Amino acid sequence: MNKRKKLLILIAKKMLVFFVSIFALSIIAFSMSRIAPGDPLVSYYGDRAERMNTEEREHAIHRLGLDGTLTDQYVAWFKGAIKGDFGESFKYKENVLTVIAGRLVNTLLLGGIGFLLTFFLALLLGILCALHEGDWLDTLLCKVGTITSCIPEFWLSLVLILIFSVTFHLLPSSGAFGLGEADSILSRIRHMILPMVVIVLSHLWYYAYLIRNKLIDEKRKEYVLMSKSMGLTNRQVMWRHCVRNIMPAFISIMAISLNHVLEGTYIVEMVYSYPGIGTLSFESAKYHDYNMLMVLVIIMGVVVILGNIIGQIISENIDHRMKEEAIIEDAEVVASEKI
Amino acid sequence: MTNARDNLVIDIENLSVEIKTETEKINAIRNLSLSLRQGEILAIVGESGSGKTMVCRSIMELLPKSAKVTSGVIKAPKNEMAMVFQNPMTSLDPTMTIGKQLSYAIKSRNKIKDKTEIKNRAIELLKLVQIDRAEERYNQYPWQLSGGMRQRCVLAMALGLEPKVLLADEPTTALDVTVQASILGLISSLREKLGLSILFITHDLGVVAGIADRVAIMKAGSVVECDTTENVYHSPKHEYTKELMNSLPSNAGEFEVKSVENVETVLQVKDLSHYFKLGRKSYIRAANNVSFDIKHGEIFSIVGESGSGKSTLARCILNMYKPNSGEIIYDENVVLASDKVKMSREDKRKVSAEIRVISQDSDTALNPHMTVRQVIEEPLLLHHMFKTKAEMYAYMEELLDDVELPRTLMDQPVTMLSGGQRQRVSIARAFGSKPKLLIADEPLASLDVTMQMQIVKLFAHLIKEHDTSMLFIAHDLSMVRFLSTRVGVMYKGELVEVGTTEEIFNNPKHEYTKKLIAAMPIPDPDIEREKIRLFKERV
Repeated sequence: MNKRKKLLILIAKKMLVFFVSIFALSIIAFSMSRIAPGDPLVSYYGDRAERMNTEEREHAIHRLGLDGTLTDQYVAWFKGAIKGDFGESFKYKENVLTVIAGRLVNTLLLGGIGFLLTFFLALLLGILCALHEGDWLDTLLCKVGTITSCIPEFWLSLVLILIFSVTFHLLPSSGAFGLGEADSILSRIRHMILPMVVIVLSHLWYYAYLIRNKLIDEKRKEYVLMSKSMGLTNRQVMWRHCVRNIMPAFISIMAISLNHVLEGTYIVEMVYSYPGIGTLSFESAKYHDYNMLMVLVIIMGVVVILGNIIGQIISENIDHRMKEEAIIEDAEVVASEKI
Repeated sequence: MTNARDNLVIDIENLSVEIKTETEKINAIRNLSLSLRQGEILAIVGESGSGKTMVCRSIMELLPKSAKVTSGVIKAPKNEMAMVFQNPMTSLDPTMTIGKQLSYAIKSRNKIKDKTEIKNRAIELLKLVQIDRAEERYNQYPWQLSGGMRQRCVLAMALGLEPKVLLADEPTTALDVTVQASILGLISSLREKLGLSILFITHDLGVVAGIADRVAIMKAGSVVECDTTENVYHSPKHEYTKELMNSLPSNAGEFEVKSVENVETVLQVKDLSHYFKLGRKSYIRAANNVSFDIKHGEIFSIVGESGSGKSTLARCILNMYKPNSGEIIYDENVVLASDKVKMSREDKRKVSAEIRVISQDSDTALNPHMTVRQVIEEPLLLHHMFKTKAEMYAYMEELLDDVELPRTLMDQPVTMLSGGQRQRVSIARAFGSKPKLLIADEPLASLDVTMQMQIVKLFAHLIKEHDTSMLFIAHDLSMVRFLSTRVGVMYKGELVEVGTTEEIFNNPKHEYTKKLIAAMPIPDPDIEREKIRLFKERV
């Protein structure tokens, strides 16, 4: 009973943190987009906006809900948002959710799988390097890794298109699926390969190197020697103790950098004309498509904050010292011993 | 002769180990021969860098990649050995429960598969190393246990391997004196119960006096003397052993102690308390209503175990922490620290020249990018003590003479110096501004035995010469006894007893002081063996 109660309180706490963060994020995004210079009417009316007379302009502003103070506008937006109505896209003249719906899945697939792939490959590469610390293999991987991580994403994308699409006709160079093949999983996978390679390659080494160095630090600890003196091999010590112990640090870094990988997809989406939300975000910021921008910012916020919360939960379960209550309990034990 | 050979569990013959660094090759072990007999405790004693840890690692085949065995044979029962390491804080995996780590140890050599059987064995082992509430500890994490308890767990893990030979590499060095005594007693009783043969590595001659059957003294990679404990302690043969014995404070004779009656008070600490906040409602009382005073020309020592609040006290005096209550008065009118009054800028300037600090770790106390000259001249320039550079340099050369460093070292970068030399530079820096009070926070802790004695003698000499006072913070009681005029004993944030060195060591009043004095290792096999025997009787 007590345990259940504790769990409920814990969940409630995390939920509170989540909603407060999203609320704060929406206020910041709302005010910043409106402070930025530019004319949102251009996004909706195009060239016509410049030829409007004062009356027409006022009418248009009213129609788009851009009159009144910033607070009024925010309150109006917030009221709608709670009901699930995020407004109309200025550029596409449709409900923003309808515009985003299909594309969001594409990006989450590309970014999500790319993220997980980066995560696992980085882990494997890091462990491989740490096991062979100082060997020719480690040295080679470090050199190659540094070079690959220096290649700009857009350039790598273009080179890959040149090799695999233009020269050898092996893989498609743009889009998310072939014409009339929207339901074909194979076609979707084929379209995803090149963008995925770019995303993974451009982020992989950064994390692999981080893991390698963390593991090498961990290898120097005395408990590793202790385990070896009990007859464990290097590999066993690595998997059983070292990898486990660097996980909390690694997971929190991955969680924080979730947005880097998602940002990466934006550029890649543009080069590969991949119909994701990357292009949308860029355009919405450029053309002052406020409603679109708000939704996209909030979606990214939700992903990152959720990632952080999940990361924290995993880390706490690996290293119990990270639990807040544990630390306070421990401190109380120490304090009571002192007194 | 063949019989004697059969009795050996470890036999090392002519071992040489070479360590390759980027610039040179170092002979860590040179032609070392050593043997461990069935059922005995052999102690290897040596200063840092003498190669004792390398011996241990060579036996366990755990040498680092850069080290290579160049010659020699080691005969040792590979599958019947276990090792205990120095620091129990780091030799356990922080994210795994004690029980799980113990189970791994048990599984690695035994063929037990059954889970409950393993758990029972683990709890049995925890009880064997005298851990109370073993069932509860089984599910706890290392960070929830105290240092002594962790070292017991490490021992339990080692015993889980069912070893016949135990290699212990400085197993008590990181522990407090009172905990150290109990671990030594435990190791000794385990030897009898399980018939273990133990190789015990240490730098402290006092620690092994009671438990070792034989002692091997190591210097620069080879054993210079190996004999029964009695012979080594009472009639050392080799020059180096004699030097070691002579650098022990208990063998160094009496130091002339200055009388401190009817002299002015330099520092007065009144009802000082400092708390550290931990959680919303929990505090650590690092210093609790501490009061004492330091008279002119005396060496006042504060002893206590780690976490007793010694360093907190020093930091309050140095104005690094603001105390929660109480005050510290310097020179009878300057308030150094108080919860109410703030020090004026003028006072701060005066005090920073007159109260100087010598810190524990000479490695980090000096800026590695500076030369000796830069280190020593910094405070002199800061306080505008000299009008011309020539005058100042002349004075600095005298300072180097004072701390017995050659003048030629003046323009060397501090990274080129040895640990002892660096500590001397820090002492020269402290004495440079002609201080009235020196605060030395464990100034000997990072030094070797022979070096410690030299530094202590230097302190004694300089304090007399420069007519200063000193607050000497230490955990090593023998040095304190040798050096100090009066001693204060701290325990869990409180100053439980203050008295002259005589009173404290010969007639302690507080329970804790008695316990501390009793636990102090004395480099005399007869006294120490009696202590271990008494300890075993009590358990």
